[in-house]
Amino acid sequence: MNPLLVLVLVAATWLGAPAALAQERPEVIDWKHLVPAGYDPSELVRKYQKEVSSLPDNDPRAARMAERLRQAWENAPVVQSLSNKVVKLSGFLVTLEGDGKAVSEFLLVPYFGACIHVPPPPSNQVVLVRTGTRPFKVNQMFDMVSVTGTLRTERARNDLASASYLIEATQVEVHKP
Amino acid sequence: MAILALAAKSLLNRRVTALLVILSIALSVVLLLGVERLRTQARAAFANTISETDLIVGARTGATALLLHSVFRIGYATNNVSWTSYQEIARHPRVRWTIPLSLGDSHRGFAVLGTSPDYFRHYRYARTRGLELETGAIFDDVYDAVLGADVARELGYRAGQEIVVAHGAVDAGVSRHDDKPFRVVGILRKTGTPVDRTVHVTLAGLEAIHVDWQSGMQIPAAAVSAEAARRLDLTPRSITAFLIGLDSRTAVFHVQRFVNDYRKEPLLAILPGVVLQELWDAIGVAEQALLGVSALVALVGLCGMVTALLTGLNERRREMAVLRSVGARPRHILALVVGEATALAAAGVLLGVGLLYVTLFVARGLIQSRLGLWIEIGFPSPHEWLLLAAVLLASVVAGLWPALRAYRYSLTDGMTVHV
Amino acid sequence: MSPAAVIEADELEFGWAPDQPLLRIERLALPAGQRVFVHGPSGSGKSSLLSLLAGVVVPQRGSLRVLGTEISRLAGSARDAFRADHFGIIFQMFNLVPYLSVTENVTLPCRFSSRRRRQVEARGGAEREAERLLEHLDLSAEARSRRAVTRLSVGQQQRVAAARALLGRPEIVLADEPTSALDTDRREAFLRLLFRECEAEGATLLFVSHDKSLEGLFDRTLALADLAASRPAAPA
Repeated sequence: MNPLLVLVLVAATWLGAPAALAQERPEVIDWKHLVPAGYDPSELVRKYQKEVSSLPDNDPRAARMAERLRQAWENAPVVQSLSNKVVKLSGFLVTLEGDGKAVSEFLLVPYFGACIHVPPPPSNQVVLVRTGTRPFKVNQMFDMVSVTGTLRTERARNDLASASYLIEATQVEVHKP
Repeated sequence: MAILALAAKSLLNRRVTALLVILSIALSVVLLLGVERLRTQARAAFANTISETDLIVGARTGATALLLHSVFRIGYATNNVSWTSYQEIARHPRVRWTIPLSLGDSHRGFAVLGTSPDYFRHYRYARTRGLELETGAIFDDVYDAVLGADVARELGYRAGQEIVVAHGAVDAGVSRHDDKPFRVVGILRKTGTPVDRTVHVTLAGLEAIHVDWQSGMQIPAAAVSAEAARRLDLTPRSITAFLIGLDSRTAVFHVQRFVNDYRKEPLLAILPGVVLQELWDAIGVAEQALLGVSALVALVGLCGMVTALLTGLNERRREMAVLRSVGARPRHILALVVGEATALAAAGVLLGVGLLYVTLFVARGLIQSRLGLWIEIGFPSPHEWLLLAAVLLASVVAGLWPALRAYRYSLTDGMTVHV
Repeated sequence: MSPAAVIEADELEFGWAPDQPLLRIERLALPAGQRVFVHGPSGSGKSSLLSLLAGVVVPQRGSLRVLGTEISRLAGSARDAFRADHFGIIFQMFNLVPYLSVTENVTLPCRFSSRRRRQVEARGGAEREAERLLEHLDLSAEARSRRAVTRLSVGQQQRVAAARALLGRPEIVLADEPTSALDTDRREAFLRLLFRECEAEGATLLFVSHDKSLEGLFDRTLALADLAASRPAAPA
């Protein structure tokens, strides 16, 4: 047999095998899996709502409460054990970088219209998604999508803040209910 | 091949009709392709204008208005952001960098932007590209200016040149800050964004030229010389807007909330990606409509072709009987008419593409100065090839109608004379 | 049955409408090289006869053999190919394709018949053959080179049609009143030219006309009245 052909065949198998092995099935996760067990901010929310409802609008105590709540929200802890796992997560897409037709970087959030809701989702419920070399063609910005890829936890550049989630997406598709 | 030659000669014989049909197809191709090209290039230009910016903050106007005037220099700001608010927000723990923007003046048709050196450090476009200098350096002194590539090229400026800024958005020769000229110290490399058409100066410099102006005019009694102005405190009182880069992109909602809830001043923070997307979605409807209109125009062109072929058929029954008598089969007659339709369409498409390129060459300078959009003139994109193929295919299919009719005529007529 | 018969018809019956036969031919045999005058008043079926013989239409009954081939049993496109190969046809008027030059009109049969193409190639090519025939048919060089065939006189057009009918040596030439549009004094001249060329090529000529005055120039006359389906049946 042609030696070049043999070489090509061997190289193909050798390169293909690890890729095939690495092709693990993505773990389908829900938003609650991104929150560490035992962490329950709802307590804080209840307390905030109860106290705030009895205060007038401009009361500085209300502002301070809101501030404390916000700080807790902004620094919600991450689940380290999920790091480097291949996962599949569904949520709503908030464009960060795109050209109108396709999106190359976006935020995945658990509910529609995260930018207009008060308060915004806690930081462990917001995932940064990068699509790499294959941008995702977006039809409607507020489509629900399913993102498959490797989940990573990234340290923020500012050490005071806690880490956040990032998915290097291999596949993004419109979620079919 | 023989049939195609016959088809060509047949069309040459009916030159005027053929030319009209070719022209109408050509014009529809110009429209189809022209709209498509403008559309995609405008989108790409818009999309590539700003990247890696988490938030844009301005006075509480509208999200789209804020995006358009702060980044694209389209429209005007009705309110400003106070310097103290800007400073406080910039001190937020999640904020990594900010770029202040002060707009309002102009120079010979180009916008003048007051900003800080951070602009040249942190501004990104086309995903990852930063601003680079073609010549010179970024500003250092109060009266230094850095020019965008198009400003320097169109006005023929070089480093060391002195330029005078006009008050307001239109430079009509009156209302100029001519007692305090700026000096060009650097020229930026071309980016294909509105940066090219901007004159960049320091915030202090903008303050200096306005120090003795009140309500849009210079107070002669209170005039301050350029040198004297240097020595004053030139911290701006307000800016138009500012860009924010955070330490983590996931923190964007929190900082946005912080700015929108800021009690000391009504401010608006937007995610540029989201607002751009909303813009696309709104424009997308108009684009579809435009494409639909172009397709209809192409259809009209095809109707013209079918009409021309159909109405000629009756006179040509004699000719076809002659062809049958020398041995042409009915399918040859069919092929002849289809060949004519194809030849007309091909000529129309070629002419259309030619006309388009000529028009683009002639008009792109105008388009750039009016819309800030530079149209690339290269080979047709795959999508454009598809459109051309669709026009050609539609013509061939449309040509089947008169062709089938001719086929039937030739079958029933045989060799009988129909004079 | 002469083996040299180029056209043979037996018990042939043909009509445009299914139950209304127009022509009924019990027996017809035309040998090669014969000059046949087909005569009858207008509307008696002359064109139908030509269409039948050329294979444009098929008879409802009977057999029609041309050059040994039973053309009534050939499929449509086979008949078209047969006609292209073996027939040259001249009409009464408007014989020419208006957007082709004189030469292009004459060489048309070569586009559709490989047999005739081979014949002209053996003689030096289509253009040369066309030139030769046009010269023989007394068409001046100027007329030959003229681009717009529509500018030629009727007589010139008819001669171009004749050249086309003869190009590539078809065995049979069918002429449907080719002189009816010509002036009387030109008719005989045209005929003599046509005869000379047919003889040179050995072609059988079937000449349809209502003008009895030309009958004498031909070898044989075929009266359409004898071929009409409506004629009284011959005594058994």
